Amino acid sequence: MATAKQHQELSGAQWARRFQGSKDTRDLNGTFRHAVEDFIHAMTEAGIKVEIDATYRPTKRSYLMHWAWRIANDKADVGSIPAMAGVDIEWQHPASAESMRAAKDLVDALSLRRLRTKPALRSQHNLGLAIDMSLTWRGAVSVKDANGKLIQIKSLPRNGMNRQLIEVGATYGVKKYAGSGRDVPHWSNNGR
Amino acid sequence: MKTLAVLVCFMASSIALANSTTPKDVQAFIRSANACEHFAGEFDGSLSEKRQREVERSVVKHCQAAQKQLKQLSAKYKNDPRVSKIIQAHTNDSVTSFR
Repeated sequence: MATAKQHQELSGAQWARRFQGSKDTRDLNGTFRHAVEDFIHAMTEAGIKVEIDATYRPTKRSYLMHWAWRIANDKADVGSIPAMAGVDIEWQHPASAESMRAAKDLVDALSLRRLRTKPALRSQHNLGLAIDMSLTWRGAVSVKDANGKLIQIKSLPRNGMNRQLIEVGATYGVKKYAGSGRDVPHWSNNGR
Repeated sequence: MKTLAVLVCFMASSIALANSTTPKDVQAFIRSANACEHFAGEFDGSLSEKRQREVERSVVKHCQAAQKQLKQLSAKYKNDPRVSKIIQAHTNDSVTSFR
């Protein structure tokens, strides 16, 4: 009888092409998807330029990023890496040098080489409850909030940090990142 | 209903007390550690180059600060179990793995 281990594929750069992240609002979760789409519609109607960088990121992709980084940088023990359902990857190659080389290849293929901490295993993007979008406009704009009220925005800055726009977003249920630090393009269902 | 109101008041006052008694330097560490963890969850090589750079810079800014604060605060409060516990509770993997 074949064991699960026999179906596993050795780690390497080819894994970077699997479990791709999305820039499509259709991949967002449930009501948040509709909230985002309505908010974006209101902004584009008002003349705001919206460029989406990321919406949903599969947890399987975060798993690959996290463990490839940890093997390559922390020398994590390849024999003790927890398995993830649906990711039939074998981190342990016949020779330990090959395991390390394959992890480094995957780090490069995932563009993680410059990242100086391990990628987190969880974020609001994994739940389909966050979007990164660049917002820009010229002059004054009038944006309809979720209650149908037209809000004229003359204030600065003319980007996602505009306080009035943040208030409009909140009426749709799209909350500006309100945690520590400043993350201009990040919006979510709960401000995280 | 009355019991619920009393419970809510008690919880609110407990949170306020915990916040007010956490030293300011530890509060600053908590902010750095939370930001570090947030940005560690934002990175993806499929993002635009601009966004990748932005996240990388933010990781350096917040994780480096948090790691430095952690070292200083762990020494400063080593004989204060209550504060040490707060520091430990907010020390996430993204802070400790920063290099």
